[in-house]
Amino acid sequence: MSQFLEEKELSPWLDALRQQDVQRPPERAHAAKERFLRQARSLSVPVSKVSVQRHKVWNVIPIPLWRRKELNPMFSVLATILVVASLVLGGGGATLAAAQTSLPDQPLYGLKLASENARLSLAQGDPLQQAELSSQFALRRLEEVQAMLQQGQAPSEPLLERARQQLEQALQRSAGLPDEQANLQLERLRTRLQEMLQSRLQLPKTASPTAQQALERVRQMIQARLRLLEECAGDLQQLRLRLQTQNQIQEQQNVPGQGNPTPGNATPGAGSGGNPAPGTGTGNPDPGSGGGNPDPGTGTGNPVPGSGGNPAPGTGTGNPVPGSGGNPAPGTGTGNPVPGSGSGNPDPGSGGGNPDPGSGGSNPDPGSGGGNPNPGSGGSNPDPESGSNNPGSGGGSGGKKP
Amino acid sequence: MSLLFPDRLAERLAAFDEQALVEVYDTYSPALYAFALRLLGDEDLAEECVAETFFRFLKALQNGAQPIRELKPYLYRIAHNWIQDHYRQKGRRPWEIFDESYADPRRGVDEETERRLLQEQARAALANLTAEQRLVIVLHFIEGWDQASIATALQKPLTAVKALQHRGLQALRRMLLKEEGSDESIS
Repeated sequence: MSQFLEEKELSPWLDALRQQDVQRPPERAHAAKERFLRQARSLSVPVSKVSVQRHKVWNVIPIPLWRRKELNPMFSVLATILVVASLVLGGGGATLAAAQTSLPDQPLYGLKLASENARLSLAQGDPLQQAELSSQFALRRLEEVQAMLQQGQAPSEPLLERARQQLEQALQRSAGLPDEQANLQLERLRTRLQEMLQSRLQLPKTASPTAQQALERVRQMIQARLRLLEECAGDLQQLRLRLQTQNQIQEQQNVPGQGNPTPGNATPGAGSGGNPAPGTGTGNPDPGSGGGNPDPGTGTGNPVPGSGGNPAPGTGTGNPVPGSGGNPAPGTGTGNPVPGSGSGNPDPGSGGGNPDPGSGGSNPDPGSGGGNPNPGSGGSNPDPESGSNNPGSGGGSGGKKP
Repeated sequence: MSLLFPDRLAERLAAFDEQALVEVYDTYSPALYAFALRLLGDEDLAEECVAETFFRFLKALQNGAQPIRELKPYLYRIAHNWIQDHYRQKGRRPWEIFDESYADPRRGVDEETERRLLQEQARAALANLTAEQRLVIVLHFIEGWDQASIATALQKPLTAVKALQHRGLQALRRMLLKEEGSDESIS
């Protein structure tokens, strides 16, 4: 069928559409036109150059985060700065502050130690401040031990060792100050230690045997330092000397291959000698220090590191007797001045070859260098608490003991 | 206004010159309203269609991607796209409401009622054409465009426009004259 015929057939419908009244009500036409013009005005505004310029300012800053198109870029930048500043200053400070009260088993404890080291590093060049900080941190360690004990937990071996080292360091730094400052600093430390010993170091009734042992070790550690301070009261020179000696011993103990002072390594009857090197066995020329080590921890066979058998030079004869009061101090006790004479006593029961508790060293002659000029304080440990345990073995220093 | 409006007007429109915008609106708004009303049969929908057509036109001016050089076909295309979307959103084929009684011209109705009836039938049939067939039929037979202008508006060759028109008329004939297969899908 041709298109013309089709159109003709469809004309009724097409004509009806053509004839449809399409007159638009004038008021509606007017309203629609007004709406169109309003839209035109509103759409013409945003294309202004203002917003482009505003973003261009911040595009200069080469930080992509700040280049976001936001309603107010300035606010975004300020907010970023504030957040960063609060994290760096406020947030970090708060974390550090929170770390100061943490205990060794808590996550922030590492941060606490790091901050202490940082403060010590910053105080370098100022001995007084270093001494003060060292004392403060050593007391902190002891307080941590105390806190753990009160919670019924046994403090770990690293914590105890750290406490001992820091206490030692505090004493050395304090003693290394000029006399007046040293006396003041040491007196403060002594007071704090006494305080701690008398009132704070307590255990709950339900404490485990391990915790009790740890408490005992800490008490002895503090007592030893207090005794040292009391003995050397008014004699800073002597205190410095003894601290130095202890330090040397400690350093030597840390050297591999040296005698192990731990009880487990003791070999009764082995008679392993002290260090027979010439000259090392000389006794301490200082009469006051010629006796046994005043540290009860060492004299009583306490397993605190540094106690027990002493492989230090001059400690001479090994003491194969189990339980004998070892003497870790060089030249103290029965230091054998004779080179090569420090061989172990083959008699396990001989107690270091000096059965006489009051005889001092095996060589009582001060002229020989080895003997302690003060016979009464020679071999045995002057501390009754430690020496009395084994009077017969007091002179046998240097050997390993269980 | 000519189909290809002068560059000067294009510049004024791009700058959102209000006088130029009013000129365009006054020229094309009534024709677009009539076009929409014929296809939709509803004044409110026709108003909505015209408003949306001119809003899209403003957005196009704002984006300024391509200068609009053929304004009339452009506006009709926008309006027809809106109508097509409306058909889709409606979700039903208008032809389904086209029943026997509704199509019977022998019923005792007056002339105005009969014209309205024919208009409804025509709209329903047109709604069942493809978008291009519908546009070609309406622009040529209702709006009076020549085929060349339609080819420009649809951006198709003239022969393609003629073919669309032919197939569109055949489809309308099948639907409106109730020939055999009038309920088939139109394509």
